[in-house]
Amino acid sequence: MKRSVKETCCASKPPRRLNELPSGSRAVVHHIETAEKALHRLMAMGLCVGREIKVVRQGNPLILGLLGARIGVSSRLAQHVVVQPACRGSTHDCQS
Amino acid sequence: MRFALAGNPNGGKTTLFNALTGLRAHTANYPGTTIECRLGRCANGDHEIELLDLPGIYDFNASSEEEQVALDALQGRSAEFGSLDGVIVVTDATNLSRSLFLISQIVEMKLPVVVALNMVDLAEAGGMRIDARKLAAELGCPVIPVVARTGRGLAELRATLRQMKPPAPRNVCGGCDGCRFRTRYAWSDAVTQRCVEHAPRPPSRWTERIDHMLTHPVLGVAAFFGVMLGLFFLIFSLASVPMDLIDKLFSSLGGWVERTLPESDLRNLLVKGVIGGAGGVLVFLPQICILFFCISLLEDTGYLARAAFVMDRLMRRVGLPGKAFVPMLSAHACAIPAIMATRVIEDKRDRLVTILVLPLFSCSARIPVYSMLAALLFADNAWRASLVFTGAYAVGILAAVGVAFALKRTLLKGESRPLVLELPSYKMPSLRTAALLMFDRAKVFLRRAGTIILFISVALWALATYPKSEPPKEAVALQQQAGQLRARGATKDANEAQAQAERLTAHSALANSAAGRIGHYIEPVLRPLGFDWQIGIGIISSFAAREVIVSTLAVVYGVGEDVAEENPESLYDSLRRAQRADGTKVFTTATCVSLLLFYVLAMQCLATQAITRRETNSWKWPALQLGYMTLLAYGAALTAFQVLRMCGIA
Ligand SMILES: Nc1nc2c(ncn2[C@@H]2O[C@H](COP(=O)(O)OP(=O)(O)OP(=O)(O)O)[C@@H](O)[C@H]2O)c(=O)[nH]1
Ligand SMILES: [Mg+2]
Repeated sequence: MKRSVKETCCASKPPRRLNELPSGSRAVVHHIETAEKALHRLMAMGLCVGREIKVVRQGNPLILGLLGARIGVSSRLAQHVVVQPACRGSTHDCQS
Repeated sequence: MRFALAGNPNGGKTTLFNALTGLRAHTANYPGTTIECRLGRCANGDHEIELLDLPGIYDFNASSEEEQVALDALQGRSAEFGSLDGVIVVTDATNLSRSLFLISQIVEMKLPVVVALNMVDLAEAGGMRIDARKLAAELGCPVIPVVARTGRGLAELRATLRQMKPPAPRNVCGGCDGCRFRTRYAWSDAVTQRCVEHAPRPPSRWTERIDHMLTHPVLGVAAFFGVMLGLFFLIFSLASVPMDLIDKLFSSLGGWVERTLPESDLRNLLVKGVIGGAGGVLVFLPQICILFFCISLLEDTGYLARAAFVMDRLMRRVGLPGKAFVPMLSAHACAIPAIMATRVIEDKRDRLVTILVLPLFSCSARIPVYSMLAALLFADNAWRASLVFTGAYAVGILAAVGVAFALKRTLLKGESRPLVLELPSYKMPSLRTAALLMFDRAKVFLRRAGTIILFISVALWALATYPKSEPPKEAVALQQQAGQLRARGATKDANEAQAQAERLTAHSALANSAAGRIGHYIEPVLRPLGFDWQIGIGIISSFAAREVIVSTLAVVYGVGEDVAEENPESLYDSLRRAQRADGTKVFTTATCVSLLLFYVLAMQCLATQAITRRETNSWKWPALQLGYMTLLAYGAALTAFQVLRMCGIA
């Protein structure tokens, strides 16, 4: 599928769950659906609403790129994280 | 003055602690290596300071036991360590923006703080330049670039420690409402942008490719088994030469003592009790050294976290988290540090199940037992002997998996905590760290051989020798017969009769000794497993430490041997020749297999029980551990022996 260069990421794509994104894609955290304790640690590692994250490898568990570190995360946990996929490399304009 | 070393896991706190204090706490490229606070001292100018190495933390909200321990100590709430005079925040310079999140919270504690910007060697190699002075101004506390591995920058760090002041008050978080993380991250992004001159180069293609393979759901698991196979192959192939050397050394030492000392109880004690007993265990020093050396190298590369990552999916089927996998791996060296390493498992039930099954994995203390039985089963076939080893390890692993599965469905039900595990970047392993760990473990092993094992060997020798008894009537008769035969010139028959007489004498001497009586007392319980009363003595004596069985059997069967034997080639030879009173072999295939299974599965280590009690805070769990493992061991040995006997493999 081709996308136009001008397209901005935030508006054009519907939010998706983190465990549905393809490997290598970037996204911005939209909201987090659970208050599970394990998520606290992920949040202290850089998972935070409005911040950009990267899916290094999709699967169960998946590898998340957070703040320059790679974190292995169960997809059971990732499914509670709703993100706004980015269409191009950077999502700078998304962070408002 | 007391300072704590705090920071994100894997930032190099323990490496810095070792560099400053000269101690040798365990370090590895795995987040969660340190699980206990450790106090050390170091001279600094004219005074002495105390350093407290803490487990790594990500946040001020603990989600696992070791983080709670670290937070309590950091916030001065720990009864053991009291309050602090300052904090050294150890940060990984290659990932400043992440570290700043924690630094900002520690700075707000109003204690004197200094930031040790560690691993600047790696940051520089990655093309990153950090302006320490600017960063210090942003944080309001001194920032010292250091390389903990080589000691670069430690002098400056020491000097700074001498003049610590509380940081200028600042509140990064302004009015933090809603997501308490958000403002902090915005702040750390901004600070990183101002202080880091060059962005880090992306990791090399090679690292990415290797990592891609090692974390692949299928290839990763295959790679893991390849790594493990290679590790064990290395241990056994490299260790065989020094092991033969040590074996020969002790044999010739025993021979020398026999030739020089006159026949006496003392000579007997030296040869059978001391040299035969402790020597039999010392042979395994090379294997233990290589095992720990290789494990340390592997840990230092950063592979361990990948292994835990790929095993997570498989482990979930059993009901355990992937993090339980690292303690399980280290349980193959020793269950004690492994049980302590379970602190990184967040869920209490998962942690308990892991602790309960850890002693089933074949620890290094079982290596002597496996080696002995492999040698007895397949004396001259190295391939089949190594198969025995593989089988024993596999039985341990399968049993642990089975028991964990059962426990997670009955006693300790509950879904396990989902995985959140940082995969650290690969590092060149440090040979120095590996060598130091190896020396430390070798020292522990030697100390054990020189104290508890030697003590038990000598005590056993005494129990097996005293009280002395008269030779039985048949033996006396045979002896006379031999004399007559010899007079008639039938030397061969005479020697045979003589040997038979000696065997009978030795047997009755041992049977009437204190150890023999104990052995006979428990024999009815062990006979269905194919064990005789001498093996019974071995099993009792090895309750405190399992490798003792090797020395015990060497002593127990050795006592029955003619001490003036020409030239004892190997310490096992007396075992291989061992016969029951009726002249049949003791170590038949069925008995060896049954004994092997018993030793794979039985709980025979007082130290493990003690540590289980300490980590679970109750006697209930060590009792359960002992109970189920004993049942399992007995059941498996019984089944194996009876089935083999029915199949005609005696
Ligand atoms: N290249 C380099 N490696 C380092 C340096 N400092 C530490 N390391 C390595 O980083 C890894 C982690 O070091 P540790 O000292 O165990 O880290 P820690 O902060 O105590 O980790 P936890 O106890 O898990 O919280 C080890 O493999 C060290 O050898 C350094 O200055 N340079
Ligand atoms: Mg540490």
